[in-house]
Amino acid sequence: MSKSNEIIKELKLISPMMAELESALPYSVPEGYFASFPVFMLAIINNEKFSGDSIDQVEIMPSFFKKEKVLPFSVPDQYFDTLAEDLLRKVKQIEENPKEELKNISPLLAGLEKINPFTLPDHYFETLQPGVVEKPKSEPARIFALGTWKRFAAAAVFAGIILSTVVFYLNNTASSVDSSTKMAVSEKALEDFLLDDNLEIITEPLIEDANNTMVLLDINENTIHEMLLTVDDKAIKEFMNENPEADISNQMN
Amino acid sequence: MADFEDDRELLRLFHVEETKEKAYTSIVKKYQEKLYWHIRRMVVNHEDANDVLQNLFIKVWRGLENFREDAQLYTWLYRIATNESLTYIEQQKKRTSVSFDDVSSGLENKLVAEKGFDANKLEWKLQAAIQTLPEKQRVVFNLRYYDEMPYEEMSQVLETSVGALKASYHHAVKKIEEYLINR
Repeated sequence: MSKSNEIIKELKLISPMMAELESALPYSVPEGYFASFPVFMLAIINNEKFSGDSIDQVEIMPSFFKKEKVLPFSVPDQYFDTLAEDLLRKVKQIEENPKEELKNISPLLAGLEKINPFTLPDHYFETLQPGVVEKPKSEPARIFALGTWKRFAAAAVFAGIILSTVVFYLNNTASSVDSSTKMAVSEKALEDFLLDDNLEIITEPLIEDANNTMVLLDINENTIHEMLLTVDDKAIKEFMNENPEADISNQMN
Repeated sequence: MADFEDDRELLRLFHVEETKEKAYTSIVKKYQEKLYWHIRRMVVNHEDANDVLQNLFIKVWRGLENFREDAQLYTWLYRIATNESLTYIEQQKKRTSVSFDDVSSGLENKLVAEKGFDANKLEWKLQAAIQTLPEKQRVVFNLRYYDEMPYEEMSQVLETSVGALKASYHHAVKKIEEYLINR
């Protein structure tokens, strides 16, 4: 390949040495490459146009147009026939055995001895007392799962507490009502009540049952005096004769 | 550089269904070698160049339908070839986890693996020197030194000003000269 005058002139200005060099290329091309290349390209285009296949699938032309796809590797006989089953078996074996699993993931780690590099203070576990160390307050409360009988026991205790509270409240309420009533009714009021005119209604049956009760026998002098006035002398004499030990003179005065 | 009248006629034939394939084949025939060597100088080995060239012409087939005839087919093809080559190098870099600084050393290694490589021969030394250039300077040097592309056309291919391209070419030549003298 000879250089044109223009290129040589330019090169002489930049580098006279380069202008003197032969510009022939030392590369070689397979024989017949350029002669068959247009036909090869047309075949590729037609192949792509009609079948949509890629350039690598064109089965034509000398080998220098094609990428060499023959691999120098070999595969054991029936390798692909049993591959799926072999893999499944291996996966199961690995899943069931942690050592095998680690061996598969990292043979280096699997080969290492399991030595704990951490140290503890002397007699740490011997002197360790549970409950000595307080838990930090911020730690959330633990939730325990209860067994069936524990649940019933807890429910019974809870019901007992509720019942006791109700009973205690009711008792307190009743006693407080009684005392408030006692506080509210004075002795004077009671006396007035007993001296009321209506008392006759109440006292009459009470007198009839005088032998059975001592509740209302504390009757004042005026009442007795009035009651005696209603009794005639003859009846009084008969009573005195029948009960000589009775002395009602004081009461009569 | 290119026969524009001829290109225009090829494009016209491409847009007619009956002559579409014939026009396409003619375009491939006309530009395949130029584009191949442009790509080959970028990616170094034949297999990679072949991959890029095939992808390029597939894109040409798809893109020619919408190609604007006011643009030059020739510069359009070089632009695709350049972009495809740089993308290919970028993909290879990602696949092999090579850092940006190691791209040129990766290309140099490819060069060493080429059939007939001889580090003492000047033509191989020149190729080794080109692979040490930054990406943009490498493209500019190849287009100017080997393809003898006018700066105006190169400006359309690389969408860079003529002044910037001249400066890039100047720097590239100086670096290559320095490489050849010192090694």
